Amino acid sequence: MRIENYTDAYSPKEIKDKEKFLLWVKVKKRLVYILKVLNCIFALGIGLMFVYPFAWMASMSLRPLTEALKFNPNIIIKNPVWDNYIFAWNQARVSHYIGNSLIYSALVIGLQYLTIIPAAYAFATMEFKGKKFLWGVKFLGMMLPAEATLIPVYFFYSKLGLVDTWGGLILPSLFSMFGIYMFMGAFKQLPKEVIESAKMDKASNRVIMLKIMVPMVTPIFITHLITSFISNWNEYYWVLVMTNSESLRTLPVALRGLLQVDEGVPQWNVAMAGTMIQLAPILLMYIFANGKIKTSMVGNKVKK
Amino acid sequence: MKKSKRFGVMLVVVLAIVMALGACTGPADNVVDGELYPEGTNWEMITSKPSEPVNITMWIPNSATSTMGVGVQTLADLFNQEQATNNPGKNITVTVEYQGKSSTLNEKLQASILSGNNPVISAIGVSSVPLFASKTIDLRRVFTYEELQAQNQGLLQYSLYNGAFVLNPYFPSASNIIVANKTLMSSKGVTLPTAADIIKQPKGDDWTWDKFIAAAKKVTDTEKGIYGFASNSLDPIGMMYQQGGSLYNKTVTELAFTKDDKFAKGLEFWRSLVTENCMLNPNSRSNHGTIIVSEFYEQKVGMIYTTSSNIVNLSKQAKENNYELEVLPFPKKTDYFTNQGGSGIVILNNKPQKEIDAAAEFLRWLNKPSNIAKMCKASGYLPLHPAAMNEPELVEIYKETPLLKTAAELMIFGVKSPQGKAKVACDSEINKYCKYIWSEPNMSIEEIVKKVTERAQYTIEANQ
Repeated sequence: MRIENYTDAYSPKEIKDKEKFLLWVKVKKRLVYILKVLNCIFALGIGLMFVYPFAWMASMSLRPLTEALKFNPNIIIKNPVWDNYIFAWNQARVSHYIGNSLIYSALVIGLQYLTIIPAAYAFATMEFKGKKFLWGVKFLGMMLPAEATLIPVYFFYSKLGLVDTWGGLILPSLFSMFGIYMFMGAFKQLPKEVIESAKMDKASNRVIMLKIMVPMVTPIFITHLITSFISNWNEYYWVLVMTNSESLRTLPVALRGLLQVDEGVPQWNVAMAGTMIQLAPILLMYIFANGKIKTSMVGNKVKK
Repeated sequence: MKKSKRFGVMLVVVLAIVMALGACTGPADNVVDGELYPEGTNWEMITSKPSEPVNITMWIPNSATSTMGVGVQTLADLFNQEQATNNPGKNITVTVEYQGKSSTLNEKLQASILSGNNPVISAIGVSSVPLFASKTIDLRRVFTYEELQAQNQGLLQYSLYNGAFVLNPYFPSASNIIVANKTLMSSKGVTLPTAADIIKQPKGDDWTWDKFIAAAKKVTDTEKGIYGFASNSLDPIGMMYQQGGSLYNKTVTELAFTKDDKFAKGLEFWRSLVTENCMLNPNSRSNHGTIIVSEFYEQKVGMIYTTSSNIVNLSKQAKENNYELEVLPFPKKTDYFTNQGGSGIVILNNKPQKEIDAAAEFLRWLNKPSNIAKMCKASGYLPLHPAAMNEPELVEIYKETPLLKTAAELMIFGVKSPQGKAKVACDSEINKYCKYIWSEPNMSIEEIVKKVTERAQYTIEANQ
């Protein structure tokens, strides 16, 4: 009796292939597992890259001056100096400027949709003379950096008497290209049949826009609302240029004073404490409305 | 479609023409600055006797929450109060508006002058005088000859331009001084000269480049992380004056440093500070400029190159940690030189006469020694008027921080700066390319000089 033959009898080619296959499945499973771990590490790394600056800023805001000036990347603090926050609050007169920041953000958020949504609707659904030209001009405006257009824009606004007024301050945000672009894209994604059937029922453009299309783009609406609030709350340059009196100035402009701007070494710990105060509403918003923000940012698809 | 394209092209052409016209401000004249008061010239003084209330606006850099902002606002409130009490119904009211960084103020002021809604009185950076000179009134119509003579002459480096007295340097600083930790230096066996000795005997050779290097070397202990000297940048303007040279001609239309080897010698000196281990290479880490201040606080730096704006904080830390400081001018090769920084005040000429008169009145009031003292106390700026040093506010401050007084006294080594439209851009380019001495250690000084010359020449030509 030949053992080799006996063994051969029980290891035909199919079984060998199956063994190979099972081995491959095992390797594949392990590979997938390793890739998942790597993916987690990568995601964690990316996450840390975004969180670290905030954590470092918070840590800087609690350091004594000498320690803060070292710009140590470590975020652990032994003896936090909470007085930095009190000093920043008083020095930057936060209680005065925070009111202006709230009014500015509320005015922009409250009024911008009166212009952005009709403009986006018109660009998305209508054909009219000069549409491409208008779009091109508006798009060009978005491409130019604010610093490059400062002198002509200031000249134009001052000729219109809009410098140092709430009207002048909020005007550009009311025609925000970013908002028009965002809503136009969302409106274009909606099924044409919905609009056509509404038109067949003799619905007016106003009804189609407000009662049919806007409710269908609610996630986009929330996304835009959040991003718009963040950008207006943090707006520095435009407010600085278009206002002169302190009665209109907002928190970011006041906080700049903590850096003493031109000369000398700033008290970075106090400046960071001021920045943390400014960021507080945004951070709180994120902490309490985390889920909704994620849904609107990531899952911002229109309802079909 | 074709029509809209044509319209677009027309719009672009019109915009281009408008921009080109805006850029043409006429050739700069070559009038060389005269004396403070050329003979035979009579100046009609501006006086303000309003028959009704006048409101004027003043722009300053920084924000209302900065120390400068708080200081100016306090003075404006005081002036308004005095006016309301002394001239009821005919009073001048000043509103102060804050415009952020000096560069933002510059841009905004240019735009507002074009549109006519500029303030009548504004602060501008000392280097920005050529930008606004044609739109300002000559301040010899505001201050008498005696009043101007009584000001610290070392702080008038940027005031005269094209024969006009343009700038009242109300917010000045000394931008290239050395603050030394006397205690640390003494513990290493280094005896520094005092500022008073140097002022008394500027021709003496107690504080030269060679002696400075020797002192810095003696203090340096790399193992303990102690360096004799720390700086975040070099000082091309200073290194030329310290050798009796200059970077530019008077109107910044030509480079003056290409005529001899002083520029190369200056770069060699600054490079040697790193190669001979007197200071840490500023390119060796990020945020070097801020970190060296914290190291100075911790007594790991013997001497630091800084501005007078930092003196208050440096003194406070020295007091808390029990060490003594000394303020010195930057050492010389042949001459001492103290550079002026900060900003000053101009009165713009495109506003109604009653506003100009009111602005002149306010500026005169600001320049009273007692008010200068109040500003310096609030902000740490140097007093433009030496008499302000005897005011109770500054006597008290100088008792606490005597180095501030010394820094003001060092302005005696100021010289009149070349002034021209190209200066700001050219200074920036020269500074940038001079840093090759540290960032490109293998590049020879000759190559760096060649590179700097090329860039500076191009910038001068582009900015005429």
